[in-house]
Amino acid sequence: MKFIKDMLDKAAPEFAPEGRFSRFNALYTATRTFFLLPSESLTRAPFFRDHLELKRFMSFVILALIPVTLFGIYNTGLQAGLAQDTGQGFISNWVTGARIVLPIILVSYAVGFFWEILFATIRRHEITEGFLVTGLLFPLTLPATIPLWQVALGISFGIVIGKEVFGGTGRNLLNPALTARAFVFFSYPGSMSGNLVWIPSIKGLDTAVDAITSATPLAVSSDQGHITQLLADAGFTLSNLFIGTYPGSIGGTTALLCYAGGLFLIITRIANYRIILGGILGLSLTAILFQFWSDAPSTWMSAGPILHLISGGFALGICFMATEPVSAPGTDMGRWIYGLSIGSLTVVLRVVNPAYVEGVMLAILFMNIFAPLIDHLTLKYSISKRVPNA
Amino acid sequence: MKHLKLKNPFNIPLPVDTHRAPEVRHATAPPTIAVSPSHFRYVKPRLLVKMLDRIKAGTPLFYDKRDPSVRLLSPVSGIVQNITFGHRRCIDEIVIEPSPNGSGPYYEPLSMDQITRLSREDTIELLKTRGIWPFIHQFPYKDIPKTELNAKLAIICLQSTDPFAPLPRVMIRQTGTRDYLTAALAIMSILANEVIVAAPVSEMPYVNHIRELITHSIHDRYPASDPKVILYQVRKHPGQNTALSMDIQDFLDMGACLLTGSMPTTRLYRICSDVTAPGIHVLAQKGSPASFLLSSVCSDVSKLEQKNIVASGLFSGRLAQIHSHMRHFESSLVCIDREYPEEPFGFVAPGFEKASESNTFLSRVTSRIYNLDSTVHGEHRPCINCGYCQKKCPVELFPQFIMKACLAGEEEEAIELGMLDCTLCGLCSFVCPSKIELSDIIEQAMNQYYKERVTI
Amino acid sequence: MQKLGYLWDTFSKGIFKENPVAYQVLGICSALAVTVQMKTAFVMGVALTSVTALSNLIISLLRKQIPSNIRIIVELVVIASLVIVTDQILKAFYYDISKQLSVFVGLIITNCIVLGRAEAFALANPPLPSLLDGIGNGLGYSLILILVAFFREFLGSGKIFGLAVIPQSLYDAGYSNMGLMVLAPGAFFVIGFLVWLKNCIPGISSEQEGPNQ
Ligand code: SF4
Ligand code: SF4
Repeated sequence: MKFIKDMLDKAAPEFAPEGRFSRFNALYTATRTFFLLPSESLTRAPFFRDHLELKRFMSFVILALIPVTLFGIYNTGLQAGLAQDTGQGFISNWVTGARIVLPIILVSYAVGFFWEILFATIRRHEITEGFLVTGLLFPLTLPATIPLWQVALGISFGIVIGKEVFGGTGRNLLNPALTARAFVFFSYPGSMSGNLVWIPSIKGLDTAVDAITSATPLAVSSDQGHITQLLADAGFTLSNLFIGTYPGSIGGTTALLCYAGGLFLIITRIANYRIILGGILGLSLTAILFQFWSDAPSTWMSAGPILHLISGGFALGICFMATEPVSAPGTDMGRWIYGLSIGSLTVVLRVVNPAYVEGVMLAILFMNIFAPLIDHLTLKYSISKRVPNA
Repeated sequence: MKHLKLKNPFNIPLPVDTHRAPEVRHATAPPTIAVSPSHFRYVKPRLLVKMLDRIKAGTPLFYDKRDPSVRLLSPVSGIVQNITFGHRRCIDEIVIEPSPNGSGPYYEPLSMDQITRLSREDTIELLKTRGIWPFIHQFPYKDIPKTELNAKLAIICLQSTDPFAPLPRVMIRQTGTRDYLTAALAIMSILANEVIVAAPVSEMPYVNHIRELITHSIHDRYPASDPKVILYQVRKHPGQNTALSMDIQDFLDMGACLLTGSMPTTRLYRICSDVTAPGIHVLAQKGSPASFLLSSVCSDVSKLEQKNIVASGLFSGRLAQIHSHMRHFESSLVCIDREYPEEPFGFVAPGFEKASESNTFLSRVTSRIYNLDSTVHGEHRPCINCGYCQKKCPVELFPQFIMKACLAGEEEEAIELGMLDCTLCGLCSFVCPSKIELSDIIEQAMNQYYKERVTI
Repeated sequence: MQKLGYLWDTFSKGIFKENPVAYQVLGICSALAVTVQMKTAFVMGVALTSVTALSNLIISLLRKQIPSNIRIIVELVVIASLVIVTDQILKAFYYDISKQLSVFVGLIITNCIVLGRAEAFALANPPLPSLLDGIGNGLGYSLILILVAFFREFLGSGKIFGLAVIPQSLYDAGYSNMGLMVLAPGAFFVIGFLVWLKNCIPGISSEQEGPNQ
């Protein structure tokens, strides 16, 4: 630690306002504060401050995402092995998975970081930590077969259009990770299609596009039988779906770990429980409603809340994407409304609109846009409850 | 007695409120004392004394240009030794060297009977001549009250807003307080239709002898004892927004001045030379120098210069220079570390030792007392809309929306969001992970609004 | 000389400084609708330029005769006639393109640029500057249209003017077209980027002098 401190101290003058690299001051500060958390003296009341700061805030989201990421790596390896009909050992699952997934994450971070630094340098603002979460969340929503250049393009779009054009972290209307994912989804439906997901074959590591397709659970449908049975026949048993050992997006398959991460975020109060609970509630109620009315037992319409809850990336979306505070409403009532709407919109999209079965992404982006309106209305409402003072 | 429940109390245990067996000392006479015109919010002072003037206790030092009948009187006799100016030539301190045998002004003492028979006009006149009027606050700005206004409500809390202020049990124990309180309450009920007297639950057993005077019991934790928070909790209609309030020590002094005919010259201070200690109560001359008060509890004052010395509490206080004097409404001094080491990988440390309202630190599971320090703990960032500030606001405002409205210059919107209810408790700034100076921004906007709208 | 400079200003303003799409944000709907391919964008540009130029010229010639309370109706009559003529010409000679452009040629009548220039410029200026202003604005519109169409066609379908320019080998190597560009939001993004770019280039943009900056 001493060594790093010395090195940073030595470099400091170069980045000072009159130093050689003064333009890159933001980069220096970001590096330095990553290693050494600063704490400047206060001159204004209150004269002591909470220890929580944004770096810690964001690191906790990453902490919650780590199990999901690890599982994603393992599952990718597992599916690649299964697709070969042979299966592989535990260790080689990890190795294969890492070889496929790590480059995606690295590209996402590297390209995203480039834009972040570029804007921080030109606009002379700090490099904010929110990017660390975006850079990890985005790859988790992608299928493992995604070409790396699409990852780069996606994260660029997410950071620039989703965030920087609005003025950077704290001003963004949309969740940058989801903006990036939506961009890839609409631009390259071939790589992202909701109906088919590509399972990387082990061979595919060398020949890039040689992959095998199979239906995702959300696209399973037939004329006969009940949906649960159909899914089970296709290899998607409830426990399978819950744990996440089926082909799908890297982080989106494991409902178990996503909900566990969500719980962790709720306990540490990094994520607002109202959004997550609201989402689960909204989804369940709508699913029950549809089930009640459904006359087609073989479609997702009659799937019921449990199946909806554990499939199709809803867990990842509601626990990690919807809870991003900047693009969510800022009032408690607003957060309930936001969560509930995301939950029910997800089911509606899944059931009613077969073109975009992956409803949760669109539901969240859609509600992102409505967040300011929700804020406006709920603020008006809570003000009307107060004794006025003017 | 009604109990008022505080919505969002400050949860971190503070050393000052755990140790409840207060130690009291009497200080000797200070070398100098000072009165600070700039400390009286919104007052436009016109000086009535010059350097080296020989003055008596009760001599007017300055009056308010907005209302010349509002004057501030000198608490002691002596010589005006210095007049210091601060930012934008506002008068910072009028430093007086007390003469050793000066006696206070002697007014005619009133009996309880006379007090209750006073008319409203006479009361105001009386308070103005005796220099007590400027000690009354009127909400929402905590300004000196407008004479013509008939207040609907007055709120007196036995504990000052500042959690580091002297404990009620020490104040009430002094002789005569019961009578003084009764007299002062009689005066207050002439000025306001209803008077609320509140006391923290933990102090109740110690103030038993005045129990029937207390109308409400309140939470122990900061900021329950802020009269504006109490106002928020009891308020029924907008007319009550212009309630009156007074610091408890001034309130008792008012009673004493009426009953005995002379204004007390001492004030009880609580001095914490170390933030982890419960502090020592010191009875000293009003307006004593900070260094003088500190030396009465700590042998080596020069050591304290390495620290931030905060007058009137860590939450909403003022950074006091060691040689400056106590301001009128201030009754505590806290010394707190000015530095905190740059912490290696501080953002993932488990944090057993760190005072925080957030659940991301393991210190949340222990409930011990932490060593506090006066540093930012992090870097300034844009607001991420996390809503922590709103979870700590005692009057249930939405600080982040008010802050944004203020910064955007949308004054009307800020007012509509309830900005004037803000008690400036500072808790929103305290919790903000983006380290935004919310309460500071709100305070500035409020002052701006006052200047534009109220004083014309 | 001075006169020439003035005329040049009138003409070039529409192309760069006060570009109708990028600066005044007019005519957006057709810019979204016809820019999937460059061919249609080009024809649309030509059509709009001629309509704007001629309508500006005619209205400027008539400007002393038009009573101000019915001027909008007169302007519309002029524009509508021009648009119908243009539409018929396209139908007669370029039937394919006319089909692709469908109603959008007819909708030039409601294109704010045409009416806007007639109202804002032609009514108050002599014929020659009006003609130039019309051409300038029409070209400015066409410029943006063609730029947008270039990006959308190039990125969205790998073609320029209908010719495939991205070699098959690139597709084989894993490249694919950006589907978003073919959708209407793609045009929004491209226009947004162009406006952003334009505002970043000093000198062209007059936005810095605005009251809010
Ligand atoms: S807005 Fe901030 S300073 Fe004002 S009362 Fe609420 S928490 Fe306290
Ligand atoms: S605590 Fe700070 S970052 Fe969070 S909402 Fe309030 S102002 Fe914004």
